Amino acid sequence: MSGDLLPFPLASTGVSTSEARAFADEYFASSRENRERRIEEFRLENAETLLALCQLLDKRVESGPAEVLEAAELAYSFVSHLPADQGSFLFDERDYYLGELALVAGCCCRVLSLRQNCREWLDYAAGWFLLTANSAGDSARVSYQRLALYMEERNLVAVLEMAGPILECFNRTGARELALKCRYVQAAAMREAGQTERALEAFEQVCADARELKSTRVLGAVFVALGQLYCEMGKSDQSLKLVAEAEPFLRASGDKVALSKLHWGVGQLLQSQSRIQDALQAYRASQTELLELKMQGDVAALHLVIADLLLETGQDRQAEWEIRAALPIIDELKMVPEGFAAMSLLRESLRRRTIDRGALRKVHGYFEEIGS
Amino acid sequence: MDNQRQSGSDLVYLVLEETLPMIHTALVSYYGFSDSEAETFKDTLAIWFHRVGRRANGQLPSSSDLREQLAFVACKYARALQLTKANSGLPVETGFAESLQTSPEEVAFALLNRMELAGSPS
Repeated sequence: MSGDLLPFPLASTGVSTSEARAFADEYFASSRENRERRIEEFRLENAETLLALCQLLDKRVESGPAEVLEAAELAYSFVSHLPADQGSFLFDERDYYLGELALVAGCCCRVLSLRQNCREWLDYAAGWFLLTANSAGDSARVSYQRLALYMEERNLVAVLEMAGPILECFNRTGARELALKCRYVQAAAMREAGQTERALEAFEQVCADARELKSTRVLGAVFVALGQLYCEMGKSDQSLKLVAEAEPFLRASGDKVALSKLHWGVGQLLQSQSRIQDALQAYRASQTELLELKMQGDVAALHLVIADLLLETGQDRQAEWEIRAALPIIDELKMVPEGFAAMSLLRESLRRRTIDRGALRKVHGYFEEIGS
Repeated sequence: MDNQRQSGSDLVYLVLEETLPMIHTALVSYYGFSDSEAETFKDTLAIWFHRVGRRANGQLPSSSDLREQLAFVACKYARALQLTKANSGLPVETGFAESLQTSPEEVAFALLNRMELAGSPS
């Protein structure tokens, strides 16, 4: 260690906790142009403001991941370009807040299916956190995001390999909500691996523990997963009961990501009851919500789900339109790495105007999402 | 949530109360700080530590992990400060030159062990 960067001794930071919250609120509420133009006014060079901003951004991921990403990126850029003699940071604080902003940005990118960007942000976060006082705990939070990313990419081997040690780390440090999130991902991997009964048991336990912990974030995601799983297992009554509880809960907590996916699940439930028009309506409602949240990957997945349903009811031309709407998004987001073969097949069958449903299902099977 | 915040804040005060006297001793007797330098350093450390207590949305580490963080950061930056002094030609007492060769982790662990032996942390 050189001791070159030494923030000591240092006077009071000049921004109180309540002022910091007000700066953070104002920064987040501003338009992109206003934020950029007035960036110096938000006091982001102050550790107290950054603490309030990181907390605010973390809370808002589920209600608007694209807005949070935009705000986190700009704040990261501002702090990382601050000259060494500016900013009221003590000890590891500059490194910590850069790590935290990168972690929030990485989480948003994952929710938005921007997977390459997600990887880059998580690498930045890991780098900054190595320099902090609690590097093990902070690095474990980055590892959780990587675990969730693997889950979305259907790399089940990696998920099952990584989940154990990360969960153990959270258990040892008493990070209960993070441990719950890990168990949620494990349950999702079980479901994906076809271990439906084990997955159900695991999700129900996560749900009970999330209620006890009052973790709205985990509850939102687990409500969606359980609703879908009950539906898949033919337990329509339980699925309906859960939807009835989840809908007002998610509205109250502002978890728009989970709410839109809940509506997707409602579509599945209606489809399982052969209520085709109602199912289509529910899928469309969910798609509109996902579009508002700028969750393009999920919008594309729903195009394919709707196409599948339309094919089932003999509406081939409409189905073709849905698939044509999905393909550019899949291309742009470089999604479904394992599904490229299926996608080529689908393209080819579209060209010949005979849609291969097997290929279609293989592609949209890679899209199911997990909570943040 | 408010209760959580309250108990988090209580924990931070408790850890500071238990650990700062030992840190003061290490600053003065091991790193060669004057009493007033040690006081200023501890004030800065306390401001930082109160913010650490509010990191990660109230999901505070255990008291032993918090104590470890506090001791480690204190030793790391105390050593860095003395190194800066030495590198910029300011006088550092010869008796303390050797302490700068020891890693801050080692010093922090020795400090924590001594606290445990004294039986202060619960």
